Amino acid sequence: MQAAVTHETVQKVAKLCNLTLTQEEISKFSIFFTDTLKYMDMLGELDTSKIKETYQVTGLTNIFQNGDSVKSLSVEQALSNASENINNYFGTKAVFDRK
Amino acid sequence: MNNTKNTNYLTLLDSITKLKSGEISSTQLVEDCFSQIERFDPELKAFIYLQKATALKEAELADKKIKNQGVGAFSTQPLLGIPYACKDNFSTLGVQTTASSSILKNYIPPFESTVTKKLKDAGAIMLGKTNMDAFAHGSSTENSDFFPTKNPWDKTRVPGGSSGGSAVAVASNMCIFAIGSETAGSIRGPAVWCGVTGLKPTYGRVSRYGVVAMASSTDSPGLITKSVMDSAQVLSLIAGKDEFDATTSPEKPSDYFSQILDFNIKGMKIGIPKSYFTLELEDGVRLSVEGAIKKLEDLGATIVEIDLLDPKYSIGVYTILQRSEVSSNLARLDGIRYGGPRTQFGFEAKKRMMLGAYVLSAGYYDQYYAKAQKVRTLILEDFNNAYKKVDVILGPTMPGIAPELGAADASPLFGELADILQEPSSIAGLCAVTVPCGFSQGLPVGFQLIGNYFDENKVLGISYVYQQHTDFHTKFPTMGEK
Repeated sequence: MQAAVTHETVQKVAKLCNLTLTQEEISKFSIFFTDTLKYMDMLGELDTSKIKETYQVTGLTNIFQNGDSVKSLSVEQALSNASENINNYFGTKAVFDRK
Repeated sequence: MNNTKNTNYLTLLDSITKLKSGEISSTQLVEDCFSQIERFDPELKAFIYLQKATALKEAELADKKIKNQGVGAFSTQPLLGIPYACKDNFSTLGVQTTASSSILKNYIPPFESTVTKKLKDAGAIMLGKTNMDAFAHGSSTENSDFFPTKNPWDKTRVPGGSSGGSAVAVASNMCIFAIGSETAGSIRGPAVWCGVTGLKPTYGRVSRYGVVAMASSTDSPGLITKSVMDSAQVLSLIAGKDEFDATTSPEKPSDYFSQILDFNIKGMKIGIPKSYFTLELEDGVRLSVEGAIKKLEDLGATIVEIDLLDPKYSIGVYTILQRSEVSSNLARLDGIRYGGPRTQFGFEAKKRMMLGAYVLSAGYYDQYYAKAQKVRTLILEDFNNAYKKVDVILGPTMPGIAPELGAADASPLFGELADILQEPSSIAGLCAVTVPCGFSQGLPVGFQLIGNYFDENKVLGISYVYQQHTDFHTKFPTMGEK
């Protein structure tokens, strides 16, 4: 049985997800997660010690394109939704010294 | 006013026949759909975007083509002049695609999804984009970041979701057909609660290219229509391998439409899983579905009771896999290339990303993610064994009728519990059709047929024969009209 998910764990996961949560959301998620994990723990009832995982249901593996050049977006199209366009590049906040 | 005279009430098949004979025009179809939308959508809220001027212009071009080329125009464009509604998670070139989320509210795709491109090439006319649970996270369409959509049979109830807007648009005759997408129940659920036909094809049968990703290992674009024949007709046009989606199958699609026309139901073995009926089902649902089973038996099918894993395990598997894939897919929304900042994510999206990151994080991966993928194998094997004995599997689509608005707030796993009968087949990637089979407390009830991989012909064929001998699919909500 899974122990309750603490506020600290919720805050740690929020950081991993690059999300900012309100105090109210942190409390709610802590309760929801604890509740949801009960359904997940039900899977423990099934013996899967000799079972392999299924990642792709129709059995396709290693699909490659045939090497022809694929038409891609123009610079203008690619930047059409950008929050900031700096000399035809996506503008971002500085990576180094980021607060 | 006699509404049956308005062309928006026509099925896809009847619309094509009447366009070909010149009895109606595409302009008339589009105008009638818009009068219906203008009349009822302010309250039902199926659409989040409408393009009347564009649609009318396209209709005018279609009418010209039909006038100049006659019936021949339909040999290259089988859906010429037919108006349809598009779920807002299909990328449409130059037309807003928000997936009903605030974070994408200003997003204009620079490319077209494969499905909408195929429909455009076939001559279909997009009326607008329909409301959905934001990023398809939900089963009621109440999780839209914009507004909830209401059920046309009873406006105090949810239409189901996540393709709720598409189902409402079809059920209230605001369009001739609609496209939706399903990860686990997002087509079948709203179709059954709105009393229309829903088709969730096999995973990889229809391209996901350009569909805003939810859970990439189960996402399946599909159809919501007024009849099984209509679904078969459109599936033939949108199915097939796509170089832009490596998970599409090289298996050649059939001409589903002509295949089902002379479908022979005699000798078809229909499996009834005991575990789907020992669940708590609403009385009206149980009665109607049992009536449908009896009907299919009378029509010549053989009914076989089968054992399947308790569907409760699918809730755990689905929740783990879906949350994990959501946390990965939504990580791409960085507010730099497109979309707003991550602070604009709604509560449900945050909840799913967070849980996904949690089960994928160090220390929990084996306990949750790997375990879920192993149980998925058990579910696949379970279905495999069943299909050695039967052709298709039949069950209720939903355990109950459409609940009142607000129901989704009551439980953190509302959708997962409501969709319990659809999750096993979704996790396995099987195909399924849901059709209306009765009413309970005045609200529609349906059953689903679940087929093996690429057995769309069988589920469509059997449900087509059922609709030939019943009239539930011809009933539409009056929406206050006499």
